[in-house]
Amino acid sequence: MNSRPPFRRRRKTAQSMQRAMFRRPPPCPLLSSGVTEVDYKDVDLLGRYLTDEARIMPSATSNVSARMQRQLQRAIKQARFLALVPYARAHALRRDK
Amino acid sequence: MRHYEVVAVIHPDQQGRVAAMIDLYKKIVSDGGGVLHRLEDWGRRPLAYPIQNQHKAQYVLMNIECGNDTLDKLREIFRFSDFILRSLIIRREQAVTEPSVIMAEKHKKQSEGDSSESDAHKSKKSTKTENAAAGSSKATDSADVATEATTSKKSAKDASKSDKTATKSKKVEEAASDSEPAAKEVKAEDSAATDSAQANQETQAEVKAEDSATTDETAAPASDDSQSKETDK
Repeated sequence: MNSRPPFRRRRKTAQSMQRAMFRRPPPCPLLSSGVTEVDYKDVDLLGRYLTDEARIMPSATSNVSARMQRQLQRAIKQARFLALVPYARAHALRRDK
Repeated sequence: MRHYEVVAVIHPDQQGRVAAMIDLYKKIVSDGGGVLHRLEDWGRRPLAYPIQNQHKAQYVLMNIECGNDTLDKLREIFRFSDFILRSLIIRREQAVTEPSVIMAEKHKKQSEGDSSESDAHKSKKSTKTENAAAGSSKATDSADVATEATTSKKSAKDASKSDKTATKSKKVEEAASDSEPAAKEVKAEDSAATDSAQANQETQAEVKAEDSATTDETAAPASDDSQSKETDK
């Protein structure tokens, strides 16, 4: 017969508890897709990180890392100034008319 | 001497003067001992929102290396000219010479547009599919082959579609024919109680008809067995 080793409950150390509590954040979609610098001219990419209201998508929603979010923010604001990207949804709607 | 990236949004009414304006900027940069690393004319682009009641504008991008004096001159021009809607000046660490994202897209579109035009000359009927094909192949010469392929695919699709419809209609017919005689059989059996084993198939049909409300396939054979046992008795 197969002799099973006796069941031993793993000791709950402080380290193991911490490991259980800590969840690794999801990877940044920009960094994982190979984007290291966000360009304000890349309208398609910026549009992906705007909400329907044309606001900048919060990084909690998009999982963008803090570093890339800072770049995104700047790039979107620059693109908005040049009218490459709308400030608000109303802009886009008005243009469609 | 630092690297700068300059974008100017020019009033669409001044489209004819864009070339002259670019020349002027070039001259300013070169006079100040600067270098022009990249010059792009994005052409007329739709604005994300109207500026001075304009919905389209001309975009010009320059990457320059220059001192502070020349940059101030440029700034002054941008600020006080009436036909510069917006201008953006950004410091860059290095000279950028590769075509920008927007310019790359524009070139792509242009090449696609050319191929579509040539296709249009060849045949005007199914230009859409041809455009798609040309876009995928990215070559005007192979457009003919691609169109042939698409047409053959189309015909194949049509054939398969017609087959499908035919089979569908057949199925429907079969189903109709099945259901009608089954009902008849049921009626016949209701009228006359059957003990013979010959009527086994008919009883099956009857059971199915009865179980059609529940539509349990497993229930039907079980009840069949019970009925056949009864008939055996």
